[in-house]
Amino acid sequence: MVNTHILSQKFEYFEPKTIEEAVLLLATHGEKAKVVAGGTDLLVQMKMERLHPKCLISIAKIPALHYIIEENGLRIGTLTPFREVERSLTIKNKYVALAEAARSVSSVQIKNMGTLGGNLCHGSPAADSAPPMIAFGAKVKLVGASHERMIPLEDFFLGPGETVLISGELLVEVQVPELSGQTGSAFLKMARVSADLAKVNVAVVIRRESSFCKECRIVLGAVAKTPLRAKKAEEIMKEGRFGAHIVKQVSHAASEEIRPITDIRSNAWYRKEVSRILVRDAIELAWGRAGG
Amino acid sequence: MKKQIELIVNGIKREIVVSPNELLLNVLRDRLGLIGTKYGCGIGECGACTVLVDGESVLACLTLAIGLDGSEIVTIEGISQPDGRLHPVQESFLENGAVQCGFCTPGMIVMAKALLDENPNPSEREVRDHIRGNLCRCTGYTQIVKAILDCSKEKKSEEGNGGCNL
Repeated sequence: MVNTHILSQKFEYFEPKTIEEAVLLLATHGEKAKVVAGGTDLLVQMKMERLHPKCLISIAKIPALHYIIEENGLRIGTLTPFREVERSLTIKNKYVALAEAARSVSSVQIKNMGTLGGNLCHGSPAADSAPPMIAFGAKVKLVGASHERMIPLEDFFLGPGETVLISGELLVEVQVPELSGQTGSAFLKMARVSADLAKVNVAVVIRRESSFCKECRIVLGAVAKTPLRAKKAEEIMKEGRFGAHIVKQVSHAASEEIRPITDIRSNAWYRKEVSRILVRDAIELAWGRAGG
Repeated sequence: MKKQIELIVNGIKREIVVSPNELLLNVLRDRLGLIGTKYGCGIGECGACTVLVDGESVLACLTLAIGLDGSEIVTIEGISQPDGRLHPVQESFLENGAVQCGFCTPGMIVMAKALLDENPNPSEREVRDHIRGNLCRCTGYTQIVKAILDCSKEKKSEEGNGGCNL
């Protein structure tokens, strides 16, 4: 029975102090185990009886997972809470769309608790950190007891609540490449109220040379089974001199590319309409930030 | 598998044996009798259970107590000053009629204290942004925002001794 007053499920609890210890525990407990960081998604799922892990492995006491380092771009530890992402000066100045996404997450309390890695691993199509991270070309580092692999974040999501993480693997780090040339970015989100999950969220990253767009990534959330790159729209951006005409074409293409559904937060038609406007506004913001 | 943890709750050291599934909210209310912290939605949407853990505002309804060994916790009961006088934010809530049914008040006041501790002169926008995760179902936001703004340092200097004593 759903009971949100208490956490009625019983489970074993582990608090490893190192990454090695954590992945060993994960390997031992396999599918029965869930990793918990901030708990803001997992404990809700457990209270709602959607998940029944027999064992929780808390990574909250592993200091080696908690950092933001500027080094050939950016490396962010999985345990870094949104409040820190939002406040990082490097992120605010260079990776603006990421700062805006972190800022837009739910409430201050959730931002103090919720972590970047948790947001990604939860696999929600509406995850606010996913569109900017994919738009910046981020990669994630996944570590198991006897292996390690890097994959583009773009390929990380498989469907609602599903990622490529296999049993025993831990997402330890998100790596964002260095930005080149005149690059600008923006993140916009439409939600019922500011503390809500997104009906639609959009991140745009643009590299421009004078009045032409040389590189462009447009990524939308909550409009398909996974965060989605609007690749056709991205191509159109590079086809001619930047201006109102091309922005209109691109935003129209993006809203045609998405595959939204109707659910409690919005309906498919509205999501398409709003996506067009959000993409348009995000492109104009990102373009302006790229220098003029 | 129970575990003994040590918490400093409102300045007092407490040793408690907890099960893995015990939430901070239940430990505070049912084990320590600190019922000022409220259970509202239980899923992190209303902010009524907000407390400070090591100075950061968190939701007690989504926090496992077992993970807090060694932490310092401040609840609404610990906001007033050691001599029993109300915190300036509490005074300001009274002055401004910012309490209606009172259910959201503990969470609001804890959030207000957290904000003013790090930013003594918040703008109205910053105040509203800071309490966006705290719902008031009496819809008394106007008075709540005003009560917090009245505590800002600038306000205090404008009003001489009439403002809050932060």
